[in-house]
Amino acid sequence: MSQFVSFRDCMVTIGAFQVYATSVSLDMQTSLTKDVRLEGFDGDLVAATVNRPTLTPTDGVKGTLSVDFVVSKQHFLYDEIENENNIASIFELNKQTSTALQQFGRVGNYRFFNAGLKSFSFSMRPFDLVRASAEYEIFGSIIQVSKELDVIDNLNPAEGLKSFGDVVVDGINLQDQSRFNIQLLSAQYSVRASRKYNFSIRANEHPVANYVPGAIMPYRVSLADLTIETQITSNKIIPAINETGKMQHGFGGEDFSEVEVTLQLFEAKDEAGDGQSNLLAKFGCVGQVTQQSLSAQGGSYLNGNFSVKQVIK
Amino acid sequence: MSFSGHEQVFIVQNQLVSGISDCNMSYNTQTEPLYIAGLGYVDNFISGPTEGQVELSRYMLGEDFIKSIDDEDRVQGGIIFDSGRSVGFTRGRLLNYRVSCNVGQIPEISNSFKVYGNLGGGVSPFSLWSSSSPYAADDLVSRKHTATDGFAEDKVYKAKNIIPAPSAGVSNDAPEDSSDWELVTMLEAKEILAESKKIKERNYIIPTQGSIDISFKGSIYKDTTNTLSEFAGSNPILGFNYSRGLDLDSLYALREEADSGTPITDYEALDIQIIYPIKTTFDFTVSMDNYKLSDMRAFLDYANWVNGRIEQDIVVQMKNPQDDSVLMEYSISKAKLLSEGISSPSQQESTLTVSFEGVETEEFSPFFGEYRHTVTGAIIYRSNWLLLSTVDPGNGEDWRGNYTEVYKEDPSRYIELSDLAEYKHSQVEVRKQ
Repeated sequence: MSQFVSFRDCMVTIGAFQVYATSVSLDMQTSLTKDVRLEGFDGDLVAATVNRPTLTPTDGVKGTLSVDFVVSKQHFLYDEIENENNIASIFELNKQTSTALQQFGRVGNYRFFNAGLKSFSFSMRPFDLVRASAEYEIFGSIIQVSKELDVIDNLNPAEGLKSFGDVVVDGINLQDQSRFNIQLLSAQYSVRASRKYNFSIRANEHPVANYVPGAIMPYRVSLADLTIETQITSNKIIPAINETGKMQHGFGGEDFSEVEVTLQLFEAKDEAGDGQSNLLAKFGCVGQVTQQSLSAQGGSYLNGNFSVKQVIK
Repeated sequence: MSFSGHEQVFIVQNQLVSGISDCNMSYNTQTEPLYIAGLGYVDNFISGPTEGQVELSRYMLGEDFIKSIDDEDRVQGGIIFDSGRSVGFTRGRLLNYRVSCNVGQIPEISNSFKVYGNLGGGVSPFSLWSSSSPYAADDLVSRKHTATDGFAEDKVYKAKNIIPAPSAGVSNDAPEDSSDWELVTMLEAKEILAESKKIKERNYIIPTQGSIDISFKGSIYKDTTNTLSEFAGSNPILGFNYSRGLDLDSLYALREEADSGTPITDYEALDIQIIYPIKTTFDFTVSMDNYKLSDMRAFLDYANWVNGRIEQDIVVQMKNPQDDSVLMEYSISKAKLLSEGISSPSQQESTLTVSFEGVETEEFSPFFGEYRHTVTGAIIYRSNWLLLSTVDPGNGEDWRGNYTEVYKEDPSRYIELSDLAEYKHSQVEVRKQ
């Protein structure tokens, strides 16, 4: 039997839920820094002496978990009554976003503890599954455990071909052919959270740190920043907007100061056989256009690219 | 029981294509496997567009209507077998047109089409019905229909009498709701087509070697010096091959919520563009008698290009042997010499092979579209500037005149230029009219 864990046995979980990862990487590092200081005085040399250089920790063990995955209903529960995502499984991305760290997770036969979501993004384009990426900050050490296998009977990922993207300004759908006539080639949705971690000296000096993984832990975590950004690649950019995000009057006068992008993720396969795939999740971004660009190359088209940014916290 | 293919017919743009020796229709799907950590292989998922190809090989039996299909025309067609089965395709584009002609043979034509719409057994080869078009008696149209199993099962209707175009603002009733149309089977449709132009009544004109004229018109100075035409009668042409091919690029976009009621099977390319230039090649096999080959180093000096051999206009005319009228004409302007070679085996004639390549660019490339004056009909182009009779009065009103944009893909779609925001502050100068 091989001493290596094959990809098909390398289950990735965050909390109690499996992430359908197409690739994963976990890196950990200590905060050891060189410690050199004046230690005494050598009378023979008539000079100061320094200690023998050592590596000294300045922080706990920290790491980053990066995972690329396909999204499916096991991740997102869409609340049809409230018409919003009820992302109860893994990602807490709404205004009530929790700062609590996930207690545990695993990559193959290694278990990690205390993971905080740093960024989450997905992209949708025709003829591809909706591909997502997430990055977690991890605190404390990781341990080796036995590998765990899971059997899933139905993986039906979200697909770009079935999914929809809409851009609305001032109640007007910009895809209306008689108005702005924007055509979305692809969309990328990303959420980035920034946490501040406070460490308590007393708690982390406790000798339990020598016995329990993750003992050097933040005493308090607070969410400092939460931003949603949606990047659209299309046939257009937003012309003639002024500094407030409104289009100048001579160009139609649309109010682009609040652009609403809605991305609806649908399952690839129509399991019910009713001619319509199930809606998995709806992601919205209501904000302002912060950046746009144009690009063209031989044998292709002039593509517009613009970003709508929403600040939540 | 299997059917041999003796009685199949091939249809393009609702017309029977004559002289077919071979027909191939196919499509390819694109999927890629999904591997998940902890699970391994899950399934294959769609990874690219599904597009089809149609290849036709046929003998030239006179004037060829497929040659007149424009580069941007949408083509619908297909094959109907004697069993009543058919394979149709929609939204095709003529990709290649090739002619091969050799002494002692009937000239052969081969075409290929790229299919961006649908291709399959339930797809009708006949054009879709239009609510605004007039129809003659016995005209055949199709209506899209999907069977309960999710596959296409288009319906074909025959006009029972003349159906005039509706007056402005009115639409004709759909065939299924109208007594002017009759639902027909594919086999009946095939017979209606055959009856409309019976084989014995079809007028085939097969060009002979004597009725094919090839002329090398020389360089931009139109001087035949140093061309094969300079030695008329001395260098009999044994055969030639002509090929004109397009390079197409398709663009696919995300669907809108407004499309949520439409089946995913209706999803098609948002746009298809020709990647210019369009390349055309001619190669000739000549029984060499009196001709001086270029030397290959001469190619290095652009000054030699206009001296006839390297860059010249070439025209091939295929004429009716009976009355000398031109049936088909193939030409390249400013064709560039690709290669020259001689073959001189013992006890056989020496032959010369010469090949040329020509390129076509969009007539007004790189302009995106054209604007037509709604009163005078004059065409103006986007990258030039509007010539206006007055100056901006400065009161904020639109003062630039009334122009409309004409889309290349769909000339029925018009947008007022005054609705195009990017033109409201355009600089005003003289522009091409």
